[in-house]
Amino acid sequence: MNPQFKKGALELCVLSQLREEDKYGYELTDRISQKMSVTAGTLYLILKRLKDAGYLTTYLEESPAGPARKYYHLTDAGRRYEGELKAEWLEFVEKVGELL
Amino acid sequence: MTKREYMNRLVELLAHCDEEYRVDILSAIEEHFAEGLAQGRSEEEIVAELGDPREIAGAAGEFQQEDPGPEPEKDYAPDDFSQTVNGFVNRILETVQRSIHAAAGVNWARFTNRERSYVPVRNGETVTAVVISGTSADVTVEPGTGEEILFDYDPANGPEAMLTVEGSVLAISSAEEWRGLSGSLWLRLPPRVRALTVDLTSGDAQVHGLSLDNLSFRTTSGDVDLRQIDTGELEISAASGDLDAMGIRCRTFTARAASGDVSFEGCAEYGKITTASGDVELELRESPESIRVTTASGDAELRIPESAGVLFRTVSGEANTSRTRTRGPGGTCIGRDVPIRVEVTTVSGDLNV
Repeated sequence: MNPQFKKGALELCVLSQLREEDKYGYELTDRISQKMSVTAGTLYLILKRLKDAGYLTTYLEESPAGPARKYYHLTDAGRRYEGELKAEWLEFVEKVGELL
Repeated sequence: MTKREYMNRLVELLAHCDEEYRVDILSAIEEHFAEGLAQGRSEEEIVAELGDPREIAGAAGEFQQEDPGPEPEKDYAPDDFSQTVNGFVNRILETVQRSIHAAAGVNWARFTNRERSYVPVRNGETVTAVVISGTSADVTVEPGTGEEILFDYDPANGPEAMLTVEGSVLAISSAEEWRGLSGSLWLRLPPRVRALTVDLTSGDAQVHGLSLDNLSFRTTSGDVDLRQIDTGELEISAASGDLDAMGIRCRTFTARAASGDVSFEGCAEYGKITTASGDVELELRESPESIRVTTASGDAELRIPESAGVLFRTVSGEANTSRTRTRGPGGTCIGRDVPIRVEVTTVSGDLNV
C-alpha cells in the first residue's frame, strides 16, 4: 500500500477508536492490529505523532493489575481532524466504488 | 528475541531521535510488554506483534513531527564544564586529523609485531594530556615510575600507530585514515600527565592507579574498567559498552549510556548518570552534594550513606528500600530528616536502596 495513504488510513482508525471513549495503548493497538495488518510498533509511532500534533493528550491511570496505563484522549482539534479525514475517506471509497 | 534484546535494539536504533521522542516511544512499548505479559502472553509473541525494531526506527523519521521544539534547558552546572572539556577534546581530535593529512614534519613512530617492550615517547617531556582515538585495540593505561611516557603496541595485523606531540598534548591514533588501531596498546604515564581521553570503538579499556584532573571515554561497544582512580572529572559516553569503576574518588562524574550498564564505587561530589536501558549501580562511600540518575527502562541500585536522602520519580517503576519513605507531589522521598542528595528519575526502571 502507498505509505502516505496507509498512514492517513491508520490515523483515521486510531482517531475513530478514541471518539467514544479514552483507551490505553495496549487496548487500542490490539483492537486495530486484529483487523488490519499493522504492527503495534507502527501504531505507537502514529499515536506519538498525533499527540505531538495536538490531536491527542495522554494521562496515566492506575491499573488493577500491573503498572499504570497511559490513556489517550481525543482533543477538540483531534475530533475535527477525525471528521475531516473520515469525510475524505468516505468520498474516496465512494469514487473507487463507482469505478470498480 | 527476548524483551530485553528487543528494547536494547530499539534504543540503539532510536539513538538519533531527540530524547523526549525516544522516551515517549520506549515507554509506550515497555508498557505494551507489561500489559501483554500480564495477560499471559510470551515475550516472543509480543515481540512479533510489535514488529521489526528496524521498521519502527525507519518509520520514526517518517512519522516524527517536523519541528522537534526547543532544546531542553541545561539545569546542571558540571554539565557546562564537561561540554567545555568535550569542545576541547574535539578541537584536539581535529588537530590530530589535520596532522594525519599533513603527515610531513610529524613526530611519529612505527611499530610492528614483536615482543612486548615499552619504549619512551619521543619529545614527550612537555606532555600533560593524552588522547587515544578511534581504536578497536584493547587499551591498558597504568602509572609509570619515571618521567617518561612509555608506550607499547601490538597491532595484530592492524595499522601502525601514529604518535603526535603538539605542545602539551600527545595524540595516539592510527597511521591509516580508514582503519583504527587494533590489537593491544599499553601506556605508562608519569604523574605530570593530568588528562586522558580515550575514544574506543570495539576495544576495551583498562585504567588503574592514576591521579588525574580529567579522565574521559567515548565508547561504542567496548567496555571500560577503572580501578583506584583519583580525578577531578570522570566522564563517559557509551552506546552498548559497560562502565565498571571501582575505588574512584572524583569531584564530578558524568555518564551517558544507551544500553550499557554503569557501575560506580567510590566517592563523587556531583554526578549525572543517564541511561536508556542500561542498569545503574552506585555505591557511594560518602554523602554526595548532588547526584542525578535518569533512566528509561534501566534499573538503579544505590548503596549510599544514611545521611543522604533520595528523591525517586517514576512512571511505572518500583522502589524497594528498608529506609523510611514519604510520598510527596514531587515523587517518593527515601530517608528520614535528611537532605535530598540523590535524585532518581525513571520511566519503568526499579530502584533498590
